Amino acid sequence: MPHPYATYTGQQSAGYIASPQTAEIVNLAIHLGRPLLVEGEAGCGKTRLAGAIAEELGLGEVIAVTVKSTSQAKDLLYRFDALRRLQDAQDRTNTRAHHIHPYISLEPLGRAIRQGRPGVVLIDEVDKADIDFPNDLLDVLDRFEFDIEDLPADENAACMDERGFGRHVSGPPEGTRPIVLITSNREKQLPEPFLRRCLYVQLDFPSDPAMLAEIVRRNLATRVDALSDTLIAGAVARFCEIRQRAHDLKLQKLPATSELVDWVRVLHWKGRRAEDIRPDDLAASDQALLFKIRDDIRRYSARTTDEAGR
Amino acid sequence: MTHPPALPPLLHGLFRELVAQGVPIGTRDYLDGLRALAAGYGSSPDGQGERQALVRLAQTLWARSDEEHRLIARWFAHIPATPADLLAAVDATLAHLDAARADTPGTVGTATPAPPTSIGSPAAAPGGHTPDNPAMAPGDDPATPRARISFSSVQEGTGLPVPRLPLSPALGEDYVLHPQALIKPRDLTVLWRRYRRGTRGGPRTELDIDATVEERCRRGLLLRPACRPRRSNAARLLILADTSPSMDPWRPFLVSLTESLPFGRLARAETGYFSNLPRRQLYARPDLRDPQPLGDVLRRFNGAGLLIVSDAGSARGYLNRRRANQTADLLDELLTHCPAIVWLNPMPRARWAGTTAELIAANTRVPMLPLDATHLLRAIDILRGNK
Repeated sequence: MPHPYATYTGQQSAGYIASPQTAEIVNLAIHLGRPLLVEGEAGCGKTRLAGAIAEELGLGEVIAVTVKSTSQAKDLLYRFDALRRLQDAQDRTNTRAHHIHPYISLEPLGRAIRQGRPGVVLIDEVDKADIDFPNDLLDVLDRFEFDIEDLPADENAACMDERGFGRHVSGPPEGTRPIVLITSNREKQLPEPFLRRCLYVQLDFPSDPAMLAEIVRRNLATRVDALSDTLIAGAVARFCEIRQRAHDLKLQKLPATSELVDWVRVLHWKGRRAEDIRPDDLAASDQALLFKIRDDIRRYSARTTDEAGR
Repeated sequence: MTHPPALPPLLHGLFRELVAQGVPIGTRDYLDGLRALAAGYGSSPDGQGERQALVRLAQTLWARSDEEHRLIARWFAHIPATPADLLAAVDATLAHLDAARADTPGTVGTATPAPPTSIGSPAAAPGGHTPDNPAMAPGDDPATPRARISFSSVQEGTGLPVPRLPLSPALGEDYVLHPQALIKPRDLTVLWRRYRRGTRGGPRTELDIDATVEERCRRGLLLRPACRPRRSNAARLLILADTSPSMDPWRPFLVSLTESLPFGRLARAETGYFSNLPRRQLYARPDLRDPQPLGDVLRRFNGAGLLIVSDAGSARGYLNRRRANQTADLLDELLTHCPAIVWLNPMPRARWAGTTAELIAANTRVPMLPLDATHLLRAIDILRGNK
C-alpha cells in the first residue's frame, strides 16, 4: 500500500533535530503504517517530535490528543452530550431532542479517522490513563475505524444525511492514514499487545556537545537576537558537567534539553558569560532553572558545599 | 507483492528462533519485515555496515524488551558474516543470470527460481549471505534478485538448514543476571480487577434513565433527574504474606503484590506480614514493624477474600508436625472469618513432598496452589467463590 509521505530526515525542522537512528525508525513506522511509541526522559522532546515531523513533511498542524487520568478510548473518538439532550427534551416543542445524532460530535482522533488525510496524530502521555486504555485504543489504531455505540442503528441513515458520518466511522476509500505518534512517560507499564503493535523509539539526551549546541541554536534562533556561539559552546560544556554530577548523585530528574535551552536563554538575557559559571558552585537562580525537584536542589548544593570544604 | 513471501534465510532463521524462544511475534510482523526489506530498510546506502543495519531493523521490528534485543544481537553474533568473495561469486552468478534472461525475453515475467547450480555456493554457508546488495542493481527492486536465490533453498527439507542458537549463551553479557519478575505488576493489577463483586453503594451520583423517564411520565414534567448510587466493586481482600528468611527469594514478588493492590480497584485491600506462622499479631510492614492484633484485622476483613503467601517450610525442606498442626488450627479459625481462603506457595509443587507444606495442603480445607500465572487465575476464581 503506497503512502504519500516523503522521507523524514530529522534535520530540516526549524527548532528540532532528530538523530539518524530516530529518523530511520520514524520512516519505518510511516512506511509500515504502524503507530510509533515514543519514550524517553522528560524534557528530551518526545512531544515535539510530532511537530517536527509535521513541519518537515509539510503536514500542517499536529492533531494532538492529550490523555487524562480519567480518559477512556471512546473520549478520543466521539462525545455524546446527554445532558444537553435532556435539557432540550424539557421543551416539548423542541423536536431536535427526539434524536440522538444531533448531540454526537467527533473528537480529534475520530475526526482524523473520518477525514483520512495525511497528517500527524499525537496521543500524548498514554500512560496517564487507566491500564485498560491502551488496549481499548489498540483495535481502533489497527483498523482505523470505529463504531459510535451511543448512536442507535435506526438513526444511522439520518445521521449520515445530516452529519456526514454514520454509526460506523471510517476514512474515505482512497484516504490515507495519518502518522500516529504516542508518547509515554513509563508511569504505568503498557500492555504487551500494545507494545507489539507499535514501533518503539527511545529518545535519549544527546551526548554530543556539537549536537546540543545545534539544538540550542535552532531553538533560540527565532526568539533571541545575536546569540554568541561562545556562550552556547561554554554553556553546553558546563551543562554537560552539571548533568554528569547530577547523574552521579542519582538525582530524580536530570536536567535535559528543555532545561538547557531555557538556561542559555536566561544567560544571554542576563548578559552573563559562560566562563563565570562554576558547576561546583552554582548560583541559586541557575539551580532553580536546572533542577525541578526540591530534594534534588538540596542534594546538589550539599555536595558542592562539601567539595568546597565550607 | 510480486516476489514469494519469505524472508532471506538470515532473518527467516532469526524469526523462527524468536518464535521458538516464545517471543510473541506473528504473521503480521513477518510480513512487515518483508515490506521493510522491499522498501530498502536493513541495508546501508554505501554497502558498509549492512549487517548492522539488519540488526537495527530486526530489533526495531521484533524486539520490545531488553531480553529480546540481546537475543537478536546474539543471533547475529552467532552466525558468521558472509565472506566478501562468496558475495562477489553470488553477485557474478546473478549478473550472469540477468544477462542470460535479457537475451531470452520470454522468461522475464515468470519468477523462475535460480537453477540449482547457482545455489551451490551460498548454501554452503547456512544463512550467511545478506539479503540484498544495493551496489548490484541500484535501480531495481533491491530485494528481488538476491531474495530469489534465497527463497528457493529456504523451504523446509530443501537443503539449506535453518541455523539455531546454541542453548547455552556464549560467555559475556548473558552471564550478568537480569532480574525477571515472576509476574509483572501490570499482570497482577489485571488479576485483581478480575476479583469483582459489583454492588451499588454510596451517594446517588449516577443518572438513572429509567427512573427519570418514569418520573417524567408520571408527573408530566421533570423537576430533576433521578439518580442512583454508582455501581462499584465491593470485593475486599486481605493478603497475609510470610516474610521469614526462607521467603527472601520472593521479596520482590511480595513488593509488587503490595504495590499493585491500590490499582486493583478493590473496595478494600491490605497486606499483613508475619514470620513463618501468623500468631497473635500481624505487621503492617515487611520488616515486621507496626504490629496490629490479628483479631482486629480479621474483624475488619470479616467475609473478605484471604490470600496467604508462604512457603510453609517447603523452601528449606523441613517437616515440622507441630507447625503443621498449629497452621491447621489457625486456618480453621481464619475460615470462620473469611469463607474464601487460598494459599499460594511459591515453591514448585514437586518440592512440597515430605515437608510441612504437604501436610498442610493435605489436611486442611484451604487449597494450596503453586505461584504462577495460571494458578493465580485459579486463586482469584476461588476467592470469587467458585470452588
